Amino acid sequence: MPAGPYSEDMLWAANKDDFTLRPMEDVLLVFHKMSGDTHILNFLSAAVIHVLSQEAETFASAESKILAHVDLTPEDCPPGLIKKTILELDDVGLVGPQAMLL
Amino acid sequence: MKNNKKTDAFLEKRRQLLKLGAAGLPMVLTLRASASEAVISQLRCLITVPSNLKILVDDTGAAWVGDGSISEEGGGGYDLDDIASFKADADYTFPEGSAPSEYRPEACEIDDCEDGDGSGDILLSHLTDEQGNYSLTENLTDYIAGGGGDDHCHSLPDHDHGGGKKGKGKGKGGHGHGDDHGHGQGDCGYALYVYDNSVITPGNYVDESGNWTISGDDGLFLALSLAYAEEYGPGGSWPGVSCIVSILNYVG
Repeated sequence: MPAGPYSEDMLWAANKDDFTLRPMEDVLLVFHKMSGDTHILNFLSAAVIHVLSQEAETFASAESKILAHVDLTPEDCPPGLIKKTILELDDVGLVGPQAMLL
Repeated sequence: MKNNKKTDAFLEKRRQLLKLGAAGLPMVLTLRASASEAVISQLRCLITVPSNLKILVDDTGAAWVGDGSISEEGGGGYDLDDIASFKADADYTFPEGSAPSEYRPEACEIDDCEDGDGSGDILLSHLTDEQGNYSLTENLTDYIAGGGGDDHCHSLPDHDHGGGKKGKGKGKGGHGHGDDHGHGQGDCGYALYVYDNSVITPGNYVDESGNWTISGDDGLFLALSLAYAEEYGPGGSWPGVSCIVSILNYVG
């Protein structure tokens, strides 16, 4: 479920206990236990899950770690795409503001 | 997802994908599993009934399933030898009460009745002993009484049906015969259902509360499928049993 209004300094996190991960070739299959939905993540959204499940991050702090995880640089990534991806994952309940996950 | 041997081409593909993301390509695809879709997916399974599958049902609701041949006798009913062979070679046998009553054989028709002035004469000829005495059971008395003032061609009571080769074969050959039925005699104490690659969607016959409403020939197959699934679970060899079990598991 989307977090609703958010701020740039909001911390985002993913709780790996909430889902089951299965890599399949170039994509990551994520079964969300609570909703019963299965999500297909590409390398970027998979990296978001990986990074945010390690530690809660803001949009800005997450970006550098995510890009490092996929061996890309900020120049490779269109502006706002990582933030958009985090919000997409928030929409389907895979990530959320840290307070909501506690 | 971490790849330690990323080539330039590989990274370039990732860059291209990110550009598509900026253009609106979603980074997440979701396969929804809402409650209603779960119902559909569990109930959507199909059963393809094997070609030439036959179900033979007697008046007790016992059933035999196989692909043997059974020929129909001219006066109604099925050849006694064929029935015996079919039952002996059946792939599956179901006990009494397995087939719902609507799939059990109806009473035998007495074809000869139209030649007389009432069906009672035909029956009396069978019941009269050498001295010309006869006795009637209550059912037969009612039957004859009903036929006298009516148009004739009534049916024998259901419970009077015969069984297999050693039973009381009915039909045009009459009833009360002994063991030596030869080929050419019919037994109408059975109903035969023939399937030919029928495709059945069991979900069309059950509601979300698990209430089954069966109809048509497919309904008999489903009724036996349910009996089989309850007895053997998903591990059996009955065609489509896994589909039935998945539905049973869902509807509880």
